[in-house]
Amino acid sequence: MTADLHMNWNVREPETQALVAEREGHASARLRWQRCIGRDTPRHWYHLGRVVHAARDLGLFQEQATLLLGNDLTGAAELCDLQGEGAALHALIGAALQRLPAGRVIVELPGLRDTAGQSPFWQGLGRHFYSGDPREAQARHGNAWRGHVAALLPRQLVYTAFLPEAAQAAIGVAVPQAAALQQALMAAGFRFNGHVCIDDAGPVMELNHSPA
Amino acid sequence: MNPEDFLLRSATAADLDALERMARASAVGITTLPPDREALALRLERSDQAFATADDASGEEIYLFVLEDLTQGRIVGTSGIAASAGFADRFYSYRNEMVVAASAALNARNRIHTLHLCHDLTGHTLLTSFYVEPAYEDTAGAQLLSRARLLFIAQHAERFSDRIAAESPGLSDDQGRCPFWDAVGLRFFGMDYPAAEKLTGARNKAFIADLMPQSPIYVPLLPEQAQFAIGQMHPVAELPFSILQDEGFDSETYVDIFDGGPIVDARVAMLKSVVHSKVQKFGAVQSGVDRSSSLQLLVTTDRSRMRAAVACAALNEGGLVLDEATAARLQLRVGDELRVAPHTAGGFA
Repeated sequence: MTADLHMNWNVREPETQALVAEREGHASARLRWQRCIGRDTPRHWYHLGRVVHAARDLGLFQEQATLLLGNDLTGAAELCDLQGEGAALHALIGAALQRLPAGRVIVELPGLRDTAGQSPFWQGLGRHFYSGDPREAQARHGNAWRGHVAALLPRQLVYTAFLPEAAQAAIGVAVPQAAALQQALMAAGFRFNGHVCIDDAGPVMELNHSPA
Repeated sequence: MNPEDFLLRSATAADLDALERMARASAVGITTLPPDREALALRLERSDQAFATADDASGEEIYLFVLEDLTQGRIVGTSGIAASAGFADRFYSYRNEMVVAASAALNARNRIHTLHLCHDLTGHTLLTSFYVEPAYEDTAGAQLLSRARLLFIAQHAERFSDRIAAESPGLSDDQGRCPFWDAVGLRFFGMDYPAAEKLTGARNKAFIADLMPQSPIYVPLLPEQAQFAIGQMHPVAELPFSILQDEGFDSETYVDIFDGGPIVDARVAMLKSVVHSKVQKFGAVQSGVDRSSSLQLLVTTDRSRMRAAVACAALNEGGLVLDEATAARLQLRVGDELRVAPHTAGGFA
């Protein structure tokens, strides 16, 4: 199947660590990758965890979801700026993985937005720690803004129960527009493993890559 | 009302009716004074033992005091001491801390208020059970009720910690709804505070605390009402709170983990009444002690017959000079020692 797909697409590497899938001279999908993230500039994610508070003789059993800021995925490879869909994207992901050594590979997906383009997760958490506009900060600093804002975010465990419901509901959920990409990643073996982006809680898809 | 109309003394089993009446009259429950006759009788028994025992202190002792209006022959207030907070277990509180985070790139600097679950106050001596009938709030009786305890602790330092704390009930409405609990405890218990208290019954509150979040609470994440409630007390607590503030208690550091009410703390040796107190011998009775001599807070030093009053007292070479009524009120014999501090109506402010 994969071989068939590859036969239909012309995959080429127009620049270092970037791939394009073309057919009849038209680019249908593209992506870039990095071999090792977070070792030049620290990268941050929240890890979604669980804490159980139990008192058996009182009949109390409370399960709490938690977020912990960390650099868990440091050293992983990353596929980013993925565009396109369907077979072209699938072929491209396969081609990128062939170029990567064994180890963890991640893809960050954009998190939920409301109709005004605001992230309910940011409104519920990040905003209390950085009062600036995240879009403005991103425009000025690029993706590095997340590293800057991480310095302001809570370093200790955050119980998600303290967040508004809309913020809780957004944790680990990608925007609907990223559904096809998420499907393609899952078809390639990527899974959501409880890491989310620190600004909008978009899911980080992870693969434990072992080249054939 | 005349400051000399009051007597403070150790409570006895005979005070049970009065104690029960006051426990029921208190607008918000005094947790250390439950409106439960059997429990109160037990507390009186423990208190009696604590005053009387010749044994070394274990820290488990509680001391209960009652305030009498001698003109009415009636008990009009009560207060207490627990020798060691959280005795044999932990005493939990939230400690206010500020975390300052900064990002030069974003030109942002943030002061974040956090609450840290802690055991700092475990083992502190705890002032408890303050209640005075509303008609007596502005009298010397209220001052006597609170401050005589401080001199008692200073006098019997070997039975107490050198650090002291007092809880004030936090904000709650008539139905017992409490904004701080609703924002914090409720999320970990799934029940309102009265229900949680009832469920845990007579257990040490440390038991509930074990189920509370162990990580710091980021205050900005709490609803506004709950943020406002941090360190705010129920209006009934204003009087005892202000007396302790005048004494030099700090109210900035700790709050109650359930209702967010302030917990004040201090070093015993730094309290104004203690700093200004001296032990004096009762030298002589003199009818009509000079009325211009200042009012003093007088506390007997015999633990088993603890009595305290506000009275005019003069000092000469032979010691303290008191009038006959005061000597009788405090059941003094010449030669007895007293701990004496100036009584300043309304505190030292």
